[in-house]
Amino acid sequence: MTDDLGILHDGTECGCGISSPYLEIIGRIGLKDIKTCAAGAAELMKEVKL
Amino acid sequence: MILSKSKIYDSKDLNIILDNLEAEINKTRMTKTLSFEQVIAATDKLGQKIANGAFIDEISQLNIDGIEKYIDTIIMSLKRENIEYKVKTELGENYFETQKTKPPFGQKEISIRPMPLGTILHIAAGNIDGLPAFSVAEGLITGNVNILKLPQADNGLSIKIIMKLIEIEPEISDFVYVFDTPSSDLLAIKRMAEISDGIVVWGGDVAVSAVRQFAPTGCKIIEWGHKLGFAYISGYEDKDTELTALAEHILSTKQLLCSSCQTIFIDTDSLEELHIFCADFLPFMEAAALKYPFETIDALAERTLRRYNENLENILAGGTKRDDMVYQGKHCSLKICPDKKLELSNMFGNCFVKGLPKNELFSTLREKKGYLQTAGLICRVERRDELSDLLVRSGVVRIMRAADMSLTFCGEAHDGEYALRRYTRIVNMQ
Repeated sequence: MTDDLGILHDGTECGCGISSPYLEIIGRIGLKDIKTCAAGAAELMKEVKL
Repeated sequence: MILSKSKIYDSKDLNIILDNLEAEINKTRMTKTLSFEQVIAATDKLGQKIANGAFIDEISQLNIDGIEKYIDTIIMSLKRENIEYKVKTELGENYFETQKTKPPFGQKEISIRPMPLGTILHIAAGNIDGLPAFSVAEGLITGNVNILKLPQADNGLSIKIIMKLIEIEPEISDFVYVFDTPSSDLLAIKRMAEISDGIVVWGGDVAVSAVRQFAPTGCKIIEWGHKLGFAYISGYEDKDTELTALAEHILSTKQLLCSSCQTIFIDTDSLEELHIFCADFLPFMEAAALKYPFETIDALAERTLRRYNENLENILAGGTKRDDMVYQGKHCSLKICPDKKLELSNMFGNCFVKGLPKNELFSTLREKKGYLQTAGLICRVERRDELSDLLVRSGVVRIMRAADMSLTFCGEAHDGEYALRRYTRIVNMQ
């Protein structure tokens, strides 16, 4: 399993004429920018390695 | 970047500045006094400048939901009237004026002269924007010399705020030093600690225990650690209103705050009642999730993958039983857990639901005694006093209505204490 984030677009959104759906890879997901003061949250977020 | 006596230096000048720091601070402390009036006038002006658009670029770049409300809160909290009220609540009237005791039985009188603690090292966390500047402001209000170690995640806003304060009131410059020294440079941080009378540490367990290890003996440690919030439900006054309020609290804070609800405890030991609650409550959570959508897709994606991973592991472990306990809604979930522990949820609208009969409430909460903060109490009117009393005795320091679990208000204590009082000491003089 990967933790890359992708969006599956409908083929017609692209405009190239090919109707099959295409996948846009956004990149690694992450919570590093999330700010929290809940106890244990920082540790939990560091653990995120699927 | 280092700020020393209102001048900015490069980080590589760290050791030169540290070599002279004690002598500089000693000179300030021997000869200068920063009055409450000077600081309050400066913070009031700072608030006016922010209201007039100062730092608007920096603040608007912060990844904060409801930025306007956030700015309004900052401006409000910097107003003279509010700081005066905070000081009056925490320290009483004319705290720094010398007073005489009047003991009974004709015993000798003695003078009481409250003083700033002295030199305070602030080890700030990056979990709330502007927090380092707030911590220093509390140190300044109480007249201390402040050494601030910035968190690595600081975006430069704190140092700009402090420089603006110094620009407004130049006398403050002798009372603030800022270092961007990384936490890994333990030697430098130890040097800062050695000349301090107190260390204020913000952050999680790791940061707090690190400071406990290197703090010199006799140096006061003031810990503002991370906490846990929860809801306790034992009947309702107005069920729909209260469940709406709780769901909106959970989804609007995304369960990221110390005061956010992580676990919903129901006053029952019946599993069936937990299922009835979840089935009832899930539509309220879904409605709140629609009202407070995620600003970025990251959290949603990460949670989806985590949940999916849990499902796969569950299948591999040969059971589907656990899944029966999860009520999955759109962008939110409720999970019935068989234990009674107060613990961190999966956050972002994914809350634990546990049965906790009233007679086990006290002992259960005691297991998390260092982490207790906010309880959102939902109950029948006639039970509120009794349950509030039990929660108060257990160590909880904020008991709120579900809607207001994360509400801040003027004059409130910080994690059960008045911060300003901890930043001072009492001198007795004959």
